[in-house]
Amino acid sequence: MPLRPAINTIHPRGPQPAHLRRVSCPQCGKSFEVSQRAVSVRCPACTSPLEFNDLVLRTRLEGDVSTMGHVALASPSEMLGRLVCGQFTNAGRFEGRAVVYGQVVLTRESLTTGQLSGRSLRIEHGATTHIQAEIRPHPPARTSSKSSAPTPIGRLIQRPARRLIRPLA
Amino acid sequence: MSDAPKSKTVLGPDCRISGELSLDNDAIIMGQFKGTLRVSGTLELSESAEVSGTIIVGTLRLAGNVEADVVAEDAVELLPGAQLIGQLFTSRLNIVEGATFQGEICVGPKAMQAASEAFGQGEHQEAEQTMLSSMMSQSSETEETHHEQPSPVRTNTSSVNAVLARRRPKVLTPRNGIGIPS
Ligand SMILES: [Zn+2]
Repeated sequence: MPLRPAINTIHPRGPQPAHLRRVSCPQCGKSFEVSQRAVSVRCPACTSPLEFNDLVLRTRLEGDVSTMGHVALASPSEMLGRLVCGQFTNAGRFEGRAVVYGQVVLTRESLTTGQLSGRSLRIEHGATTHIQAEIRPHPPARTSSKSSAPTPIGRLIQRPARRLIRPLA
Repeated sequence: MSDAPKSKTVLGPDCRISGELSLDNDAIIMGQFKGTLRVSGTLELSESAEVSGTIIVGTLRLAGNVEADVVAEDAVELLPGAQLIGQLFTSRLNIVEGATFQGEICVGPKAMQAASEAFGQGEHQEAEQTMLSSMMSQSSETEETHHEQPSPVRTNTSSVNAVLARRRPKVLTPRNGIGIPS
């Protein structure tokens, strides 16, 4: 019986993105996936432009950050202010208000206080957390109010932070 | 500790209970409960479960609807479709995508103490202050142990044990070196 060339092994299916990023559009709430390498996309539902700036904070930041990318606070970094992002991982200290359109992970060394909203939340054993939280599958679609949504999306904005929690005497 | 397998209490979807219920084992609740619920082991609340009031457990796995204050010494997991509204005190938390939570979350080494003060003495504000002050001092003086730091806020460690003692019946051996008054 003649051997048939194994075309599939020579030409596998087109290149697949190695890692996918789960995105939830802050404008309309549509959830979709894009390649982890994508820098910007348009929402397939409402065509809003979304940009992804992943960033790792290793020092102290007092101000606001807004991006649809993944924000990670390394240990022993510290952030005070408002954060709007696609994903959030805290291994340092965060104090303020975070609006996350995806997963939130608070690692065992982290200290988190303030307000948090996100799609899912994991708090590891050893983490210290005291927050007002709202976790739900569909984040509120952005309205005309610009209080908590990323404006402009994908840009890093640094403004003087308001202390949301009074320091203890 | 004995190695005997733990029994499991199952309350089916037709049950409707109100009042106070203490179970010295693991439990699954599929029906409705209103009041104070204490389970020494793992409590599973299925998709059909509806609970309101106060829940004090070791571990909570939630798939149903709960409007309650929850103290879980070990862990809390919210599965897809679960809904929890209330205060939550635990040491480990996982809210997966598809679950809903709304309220206050206290997690950390002092969470049980904060819970004890919130429930035991009705001094919630003070409990929050205790939690916050301990966190602040923890972050600024990480090398010191918690026990050596003078807390600026009055704390009551015996009430932690009170909460734990209420959760675990006296017949249980204390775990993790936490003393329970007999
Ligand atoms: Zn959209």
